[in-house]
Amino acid sequence: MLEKYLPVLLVLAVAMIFAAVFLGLSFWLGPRRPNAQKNSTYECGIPVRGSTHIRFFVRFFLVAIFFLLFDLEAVFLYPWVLLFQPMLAAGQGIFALAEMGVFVLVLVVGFVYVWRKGGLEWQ
Amino acid sequence: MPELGGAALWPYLIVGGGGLLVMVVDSFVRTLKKDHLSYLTMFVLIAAIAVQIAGETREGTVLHGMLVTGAYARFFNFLFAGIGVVTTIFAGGIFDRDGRHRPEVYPLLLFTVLGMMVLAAANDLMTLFLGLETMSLATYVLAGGVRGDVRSSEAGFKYLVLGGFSSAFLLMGMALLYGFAGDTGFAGISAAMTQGEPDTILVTLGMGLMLVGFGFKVALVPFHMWTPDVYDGAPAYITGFMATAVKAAGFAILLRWVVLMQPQLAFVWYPVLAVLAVLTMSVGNVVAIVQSNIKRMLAWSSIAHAGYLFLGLLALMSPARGGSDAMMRTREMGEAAGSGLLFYLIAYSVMNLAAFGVVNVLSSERGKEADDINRYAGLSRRRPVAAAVLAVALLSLAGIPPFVGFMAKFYVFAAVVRAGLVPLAIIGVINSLVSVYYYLRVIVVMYMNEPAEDSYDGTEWVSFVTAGALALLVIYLGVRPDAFHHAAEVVVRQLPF
Repeated sequence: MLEKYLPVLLVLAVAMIFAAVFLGLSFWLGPRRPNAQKNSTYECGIPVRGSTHIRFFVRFFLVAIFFLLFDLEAVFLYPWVLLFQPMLAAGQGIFALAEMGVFVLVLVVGFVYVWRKGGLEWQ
Repeated sequence: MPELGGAALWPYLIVGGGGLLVMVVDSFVRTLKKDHLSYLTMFVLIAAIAVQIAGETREGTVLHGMLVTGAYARFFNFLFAGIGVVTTIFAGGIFDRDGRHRPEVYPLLLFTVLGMMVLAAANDLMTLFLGLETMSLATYVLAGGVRGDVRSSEAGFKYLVLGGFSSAFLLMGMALLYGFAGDTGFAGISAAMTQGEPDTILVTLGMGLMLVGFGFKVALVPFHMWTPDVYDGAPAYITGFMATAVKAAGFAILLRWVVLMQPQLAFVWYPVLAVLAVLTMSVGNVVAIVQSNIKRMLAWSSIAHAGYLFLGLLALMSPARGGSDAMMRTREMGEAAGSGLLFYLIAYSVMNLAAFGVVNVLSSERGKEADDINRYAGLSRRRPVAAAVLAVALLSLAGIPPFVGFMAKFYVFAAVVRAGLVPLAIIGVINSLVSVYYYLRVIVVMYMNEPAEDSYDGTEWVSFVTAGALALLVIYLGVRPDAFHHAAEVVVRQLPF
């Protein structure tokens, strides 16, 4: 039973050895001549402006959540589109359409709720 | 089992659609007064109960075997919808005190109930997970949804993080089981269990991981650390809901899962489960003794009650350990344990809701809850009815006759003894004796102490009447448990032992 997973284990081991060998080689062989430019945050040379720990306006959080919701809806539409033709051929077109209808309806209700509650207003 | 038509889905559609309807009404009708949403919510839940009574009663599967409807699902649908109605009443009870409108409670409550109904009827690992997450996600928000209250936010955050963690365990266990059986349907898994050589690492690990996930939801002892904080931080009516409905939903799926996994579970994990049950009872009761906050005390007591309920599950499994020599006895004993467990769930829900219903409305301070046990002093003189209701609920939780808590414990412990687990039954009874101490302490404070300046006082009579009705039910079911116990027996008989 478990020997089926031997290849997975092998790949894992090879990956680890590979990573260790090459990291070790570059650590051992690579020359180290540090200077101020090299030690800066961005090696491309762009100067750092201020701290990374700045405060974001909390509204971004809501927008991100809403984006996630509607983004996921779009993701769910793709497999449905792929399955719709076979289901239509099998005589289950109405069922498939109704399924997506229910899904979109739930989302639309959520959208209307967000809209009416003022979640989309910036201020 | 036959595949049924869509008619069996009506209760689910009504609760889910009702949740959406409440959201739409809430967002469009600005002139509504606060209580109207709770009326609408109650109407939805009662409609679901009515459709459940009038509708499909046959045993069968719906949606291509994803859900199984029948006596078992109906039993839990009634329980969840009933608890939902009571919680809605209690939720309406504190709006005057807090002066704050929380309309989002009602759709979330309906979605939680929908998740539990799906969970209890799940016939596939996918629907199991879907129901569990629908229930859990809505509960996280309900627990942490009191804006501006730090303890509520803490409760919601803790519940979310730890709950997500436990869901990951559950999902990993389900993946391993799927890897073993090649099927996510319960029927397929059951078939693979009985024919293959099921004693493999995959099944053992998968079952163990799933147990962690379920153990978290019903607050078994090594996975219980979230319970006191979450039960304490959430508003009391939500705590009552979590302690009854969410726990019942956890046991609804655990019972079916145990019956499904019995052949394996009864051997591999049985000793571990027995230890967990004993630990759960003992830790819950011992820690409850030192609590001075009544919500924390009830939280630890709910952990202890999960332990008693788990004893029932052990009794259910133990005949399967005996081999095939007494198949008939096996079935009979399994049914006794299962029906005892279901009856315990009803009893526990009724008495716990009565207790939380009183605790919920006793404080008259805005945004504060009546959680300090010492401030219950003299409640019997100020509010005799509320004190009597709370006393009945607590005595019943302690398992003192003639209240329903006694009958529930009697059925479960009797099944445990019949299954030959006498030591476990003795530990259970000792624990039950220990619990009398902390339940009685509240009653002593209420009845023996003089009311002080800062003693609690509440005036919300609708909640008192509801809690009073529940207390009467506690007494009635304690004296005449036959009808409900018989119903539980009928339900359990439908399970495939």
